[in-house]
Amino acid sequence: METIAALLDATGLAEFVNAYDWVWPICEIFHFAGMALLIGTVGFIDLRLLGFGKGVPIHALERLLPYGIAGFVVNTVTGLVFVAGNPVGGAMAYLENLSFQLKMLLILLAGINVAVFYLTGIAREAAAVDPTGDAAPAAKVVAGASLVFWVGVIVFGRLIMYNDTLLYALGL
Amino acid sequence: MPQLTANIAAGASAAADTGLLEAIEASAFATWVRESPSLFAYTGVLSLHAIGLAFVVGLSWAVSLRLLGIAPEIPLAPARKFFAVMYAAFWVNALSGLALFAASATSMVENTAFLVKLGFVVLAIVNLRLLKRYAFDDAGMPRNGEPVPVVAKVLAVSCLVLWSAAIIAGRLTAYPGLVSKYFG
Repeated sequence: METIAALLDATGLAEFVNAYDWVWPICEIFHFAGMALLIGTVGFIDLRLLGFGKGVPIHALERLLPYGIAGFVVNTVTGLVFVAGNPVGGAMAYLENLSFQLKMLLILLAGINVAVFYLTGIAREAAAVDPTGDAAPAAKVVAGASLVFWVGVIVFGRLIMYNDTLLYALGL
Repeated sequence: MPQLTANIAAGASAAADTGLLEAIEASAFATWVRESPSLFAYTGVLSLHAIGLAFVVGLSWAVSLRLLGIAPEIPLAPARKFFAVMYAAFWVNALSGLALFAASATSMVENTAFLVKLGFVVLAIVNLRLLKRYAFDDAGMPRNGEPVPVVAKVLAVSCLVLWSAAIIAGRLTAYPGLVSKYFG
């Protein structure tokens, strides 16, 4: 963990963040917009897979995915600025933060979930479902898990700055 | 004499307003939101506010992209059901926003970015309702394969812009010092 922190600190992003007071809030603005784009597209597909909004063909929604991926990329870049450019306590302050660790864990789980969806053929089956039809139970499990993971990512993302509250609630 | 009475009334009303904001901020509920160590207090309300934002803005953007030609195979009539999710998410944010406002009412009314944000949220919601009426409701809705009317495309663009402005002003609400430095 020290090695990763040292690598991130070596990027010199902290000096950049320190030199211009508008860098941090602008990255936050993009981070929130990227979140909305990701949830709006992935959440749209998840809700339809769960059976909400029948009549919308599942394959038609897949065209929205590149925008969700764009949101994820924006948030990876801005997120890297927060961690590597943290003017208070450096990258280590994030890496040691329990809320941040849980957020990263949930992003990893969401990634594995997407991989399962596309690599096991669940996605292909779901795309072939009739516009008014029901997706297979496996697709519904993936969609439900996706919603839970991403909402969790938002919650623990918000908690990073209030990590003490989480530690207190957990009795740590 | 009527002028004097009006002045006194205006002064009294201004004083009562300030008193009201202080009373809201000092209320048991606002104090709990602000000071309780519970995860459900400030941090929980803040999390709800971010979740609501993601769904109302995200789905608004998704249907706007559809009207602008992305994913044209999405039929508009059944997609209308997703407006119920957007409205539900909006009410989550209206209520969580009210709780966050109560927690620091006196400073919030003096926060320019916050007031600008409220303005953009109102415009974005009016815009969203118009978008639903002109592009998704039965009467004026384009049939499958029909081109999207210009009015719906204009509303889709303003939907993207107004929510972006609300996010920008909303985030700047946390930086009153920075806002007065650059915009003061």
